[in-house]
Amino acid sequence: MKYDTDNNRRESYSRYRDQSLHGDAVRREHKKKKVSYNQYRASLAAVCVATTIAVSGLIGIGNHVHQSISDTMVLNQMLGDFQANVINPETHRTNDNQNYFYDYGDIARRMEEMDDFDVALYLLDSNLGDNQSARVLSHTSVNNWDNYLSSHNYQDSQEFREAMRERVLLESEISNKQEELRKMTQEHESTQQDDDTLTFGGNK
Amino acid sequence: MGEFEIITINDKEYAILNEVQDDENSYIYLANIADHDDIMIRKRSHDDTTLYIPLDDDEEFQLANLLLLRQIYDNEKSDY
Repeated sequence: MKYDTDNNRRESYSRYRDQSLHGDAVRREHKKKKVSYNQYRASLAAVCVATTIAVSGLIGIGNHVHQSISDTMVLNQMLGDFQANVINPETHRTNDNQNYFYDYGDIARRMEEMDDFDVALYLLDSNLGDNQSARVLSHTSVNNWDNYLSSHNYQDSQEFREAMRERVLLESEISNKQEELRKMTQEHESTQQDDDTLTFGGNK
Repeated sequence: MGEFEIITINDKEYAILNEVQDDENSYIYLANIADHDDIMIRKRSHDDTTLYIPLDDDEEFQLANLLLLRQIYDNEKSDY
């Protein structure tokens, strides 16, 4: 039974990919039609399954060792950047130089200035742990962990960490893909220009 | 029942389930209203913005799927 389900998913995915890469161009007709929510949900589920298969090798859902190494590198890079830009500037020595302390209010301010507060909170928690991050949170509008987790419908901090890990890896993969496509487009354009030069200039 | 924009391809009607835009392109995600497993992505042509064309390659197919996943994730989070 599982084999059939897997096979069906693979076939659906294969068709989804083929139809997306090949076939006809279409024009929007701006025509509307009523579709039942059951049909809509079934279609959206099909897209979600196919989408998950399409990206499963990319963001660590699969068990590929090289992928986990690459995920770890992405996360370590982000954690390092966060530490260097947000935590270290607000880490100060005590007067006797024997210890250090964090300026929680200023860390909170820096986090609130970041584009994505959720990601910032994930990086803070991964860097400093629950107790210290709770002190930072008390200086933000969120106030505390319980408020944050319940208002975002996370059951606990573990669920938050797992969701944010995927989110961070997803963002990183999107940036990489956008960069790859941008480079491919630039290469294509420069090849076109070379061809044009040849056409207009005759033999080089 | 919900109202969806429809596009006809080879005499089959496809509903636009989602539309996602990144810096470079705009993608639409289509599902055949008579067969929910019949799904595909198209992107808006740069030369003719009323025309929606197939994706260039697997790299772009993966990117379009990642963008959709991000939108679904964002929508889920904004519901709370």
